[in-house]
Amino acid sequence: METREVSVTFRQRRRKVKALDSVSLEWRRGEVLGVVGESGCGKSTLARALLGLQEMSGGEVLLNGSPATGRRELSDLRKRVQMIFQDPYQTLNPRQKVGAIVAEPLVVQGFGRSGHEEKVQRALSDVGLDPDTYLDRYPHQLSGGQRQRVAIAAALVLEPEGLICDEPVSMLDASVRSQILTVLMNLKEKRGLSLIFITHDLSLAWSLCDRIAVMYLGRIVESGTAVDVIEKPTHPYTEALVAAVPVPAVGKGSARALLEGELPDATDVPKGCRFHPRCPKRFEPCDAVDPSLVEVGPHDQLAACLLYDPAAAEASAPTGSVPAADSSGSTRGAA
Amino acid sequence: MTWIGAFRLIVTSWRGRFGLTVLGLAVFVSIFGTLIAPYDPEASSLAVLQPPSFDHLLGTTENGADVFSQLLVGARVSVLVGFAAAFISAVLGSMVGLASGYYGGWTDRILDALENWFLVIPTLPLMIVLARLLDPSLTVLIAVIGLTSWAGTGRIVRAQVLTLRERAFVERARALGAGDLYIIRKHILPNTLPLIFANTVLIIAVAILSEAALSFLGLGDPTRISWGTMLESAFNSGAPSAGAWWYVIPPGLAITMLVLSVSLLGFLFEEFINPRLQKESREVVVPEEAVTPLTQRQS
Amino acid sequence: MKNLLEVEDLRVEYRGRPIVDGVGFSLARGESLGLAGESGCGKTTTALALMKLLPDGLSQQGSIELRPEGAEEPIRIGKRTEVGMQVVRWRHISLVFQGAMNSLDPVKKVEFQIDEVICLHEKGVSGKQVKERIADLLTTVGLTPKLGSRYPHQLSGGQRQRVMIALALACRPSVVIADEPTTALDVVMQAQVLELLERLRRDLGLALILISHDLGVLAETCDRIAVMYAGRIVETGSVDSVFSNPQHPYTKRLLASLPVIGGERGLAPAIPGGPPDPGNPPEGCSFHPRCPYSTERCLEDPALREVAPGHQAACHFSPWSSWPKVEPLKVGEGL
Repeated sequence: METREVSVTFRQRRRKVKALDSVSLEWRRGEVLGVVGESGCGKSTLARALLGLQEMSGGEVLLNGSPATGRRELSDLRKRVQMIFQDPYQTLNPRQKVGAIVAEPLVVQGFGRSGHEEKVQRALSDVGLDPDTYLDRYPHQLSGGQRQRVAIAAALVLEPEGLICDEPVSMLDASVRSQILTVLMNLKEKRGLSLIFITHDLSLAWSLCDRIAVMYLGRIVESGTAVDVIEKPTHPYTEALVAAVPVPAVGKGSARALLEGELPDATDVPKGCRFHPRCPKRFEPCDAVDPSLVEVGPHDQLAACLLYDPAAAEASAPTGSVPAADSSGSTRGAA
Repeated sequence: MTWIGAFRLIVTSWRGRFGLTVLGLAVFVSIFGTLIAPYDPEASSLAVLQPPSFDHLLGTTENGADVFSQLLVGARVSVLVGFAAAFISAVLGSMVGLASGYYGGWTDRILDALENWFLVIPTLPLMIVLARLLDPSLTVLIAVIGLTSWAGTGRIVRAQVLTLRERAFVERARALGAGDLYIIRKHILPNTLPLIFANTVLIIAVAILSEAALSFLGLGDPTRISWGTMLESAFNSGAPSAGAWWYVIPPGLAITMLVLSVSLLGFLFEEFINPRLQKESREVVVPEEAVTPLTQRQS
Repeated sequence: MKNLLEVEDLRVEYRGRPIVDGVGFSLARGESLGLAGESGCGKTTTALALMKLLPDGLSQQGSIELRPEGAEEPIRIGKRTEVGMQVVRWRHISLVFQGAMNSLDPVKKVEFQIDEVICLHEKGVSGKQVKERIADLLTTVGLTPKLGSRYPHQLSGGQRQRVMIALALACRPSVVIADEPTTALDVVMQAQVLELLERLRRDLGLALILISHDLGVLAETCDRIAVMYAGRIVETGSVDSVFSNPQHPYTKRLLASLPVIGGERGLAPAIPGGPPDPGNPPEGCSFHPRCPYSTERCLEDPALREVAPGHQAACHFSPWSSWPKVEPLKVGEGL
């Protein structure tokens, strides 16, 4: 799948929140893509936009190269791409039995009754839940990890090609997290799925993702392979994120470049580069020019930072008048 | 909340036991009253306004009719009107609440205005006016009470629907391409039913009282005996000043007991429903140690 | 010199079920102890028990002795009544609650709330002194004093968390317990708060008990760590010792299941099953049903004992000099 310059704007009590600002992303078949960022960066909105659940104010979403607009295309999209949500305690209807929950996608999409039982059983066993034991249970009889497995089974039953997982383990206990991740990765192997992991947990992204996109306030600020982005981060925000992750190992008190300040309110995005007020490497043009993604390394590593875009930086040379940045991308303007 | 769970809840509390017993008794009498009654409740006799005796357990009316028989037969109207009106009110309120909560926008605004109107208007005067305008009969009575008491349910349902609408399992259904009606039917309604149920039980109490009030004011069905009409006749014939307590107290007491029993049950359900709505069936026994949901994460 | 805090055989029961089952530890002056574990292991309950703040229905037993600086007699918290505790709480030991940032009174200004706390515990402090102390406290936690005149909703989550820390410090206690102080914060903010706690510990000579399910957080901030499982401490020792040489299978398996940036990529072996039900605990060692190394010996309750200098573990087979390799489980094979 692909997004091209997707923007999503919310209205929040007369103020506009640009949850996504011209986001272009590629999700390659068979790959595990990580979308990493803090709350409010727009990653969940991006997931919804990919599924056609979110009204967009600009840009388009493509499935296998063709735009996913129109009822038929959307219906097709929903059969091919499914989503797992974050909170296992809210993701299941408390009044439905597990069997009904997992069968629901088949019912909604209008598949004939006859095939249901077999597909449901297969989905349940693929996530490690014995159908005989679990079919008639209610969600409140299950633990968080089991509930999340049911949610995954429900997502599998339509035999999708892709699975978007929005913080699939952040609300689970530490000892259960790796179980669910194992389930997901096993499924990827077994069913040839493509995955997106939306997470704030860089360690997770490090260990399981092929490629990562780092988001900040509605923009992708860096993307590339997981190893490149985390071992050799180029954008100052990525650097700060990597440095801030606490490591459960010896050698505490490692010197860390702590970021100043706090995440700005989404209604009040800083002018120019949205990261510049907190950036330890900011320089003159950063408060005026909004950088777009440029290549910064091999394997398609991209970053949106003026440090790597001398042309854009120079376009607002300090000697001349500084052109105002427009919100859809970088600015090219004569000084 | 299963039926078994509800039953267990009732049986283990004194309120539940009392409420269920009295209600059960009332329902039984309302069904079999005409068979059990020793006399024809409308049969007059010369024994006018007689105090209770062996022949007439609760004495006689101003027409010589047996009070006890009237009490037994009159149960039917009170119970019937109570339940039927509450049912109508529940259905109306739920539909309005579901529509306005789920669809929002203009639907919500219009229905909400309508709801407010009904909430603000004093119900008794409204009922009186409506009853006066239409020919008195049981159906009219039920309709009038039902039409004036739905707004409270509507409010509560709307609030619940608003929360449910944003839950992950609803979003999941949408992500599958489920239509609005499907979602309302399969996801929203089942999770709202316990609330509707608890609320409706309380409306039953209100409906019973309303019927008694309307009948007492002479707006009830004149062809039927109810506890309200008994009180009406009693007062009209000067029974209180004549000291005929056997004519006034039994119907009054019956109404009170029925309303009390229904209310107790209603409160019991409501108490049970509310914390569960908030806890979402998580066993919070010990200080909660779970990981904080990311939706509460802040920078 | 005796320790600042000594806890011995602390037990908390709810309806006959043990929630905390014989926990004991000590805390030296100025030391930071990490209490690690997942939901239901009893760490929050332990914290509340130290302050005698358990909700109704929970009963506690055991010895808790606090020896603040210059005190002749130790304060025997275990034996104190509610009235007796009112002079101990906050003055000698305070608590930053879990989810504390939402515990501020929304209709009172921040400075008023700090004022309340100080005046409640110290009679005869002049208005001017209180004002000074409030300004001092706010600065100490890294906030500008003028934020005191704001209402909680006007502050960000990170700022509110700092206010909660300031409140905990208001009466200059010698021990501060922080229950999941960073769980609801972004990684970057988390690093800032941890750095703050560390700085406070150094500058004010505080002893800190840090409760977290995140081993990384504890590794970075604490001197010593106690790992809890099913109401008991299963391993304790210095952070260096425990993380470099874990001696309890739970600690070991947990560490092995966590992805670490810079470490191995790919799926880590998961721990099967879930935390035990307090109403129906396993026979003997509470971890054995999930332990890949368990044998019949494990049906016997292992006691917590010293297995290396300053390092204790509750496992029959420790000290472990090397750990047998555990293959990652696949779905359907007991996972």
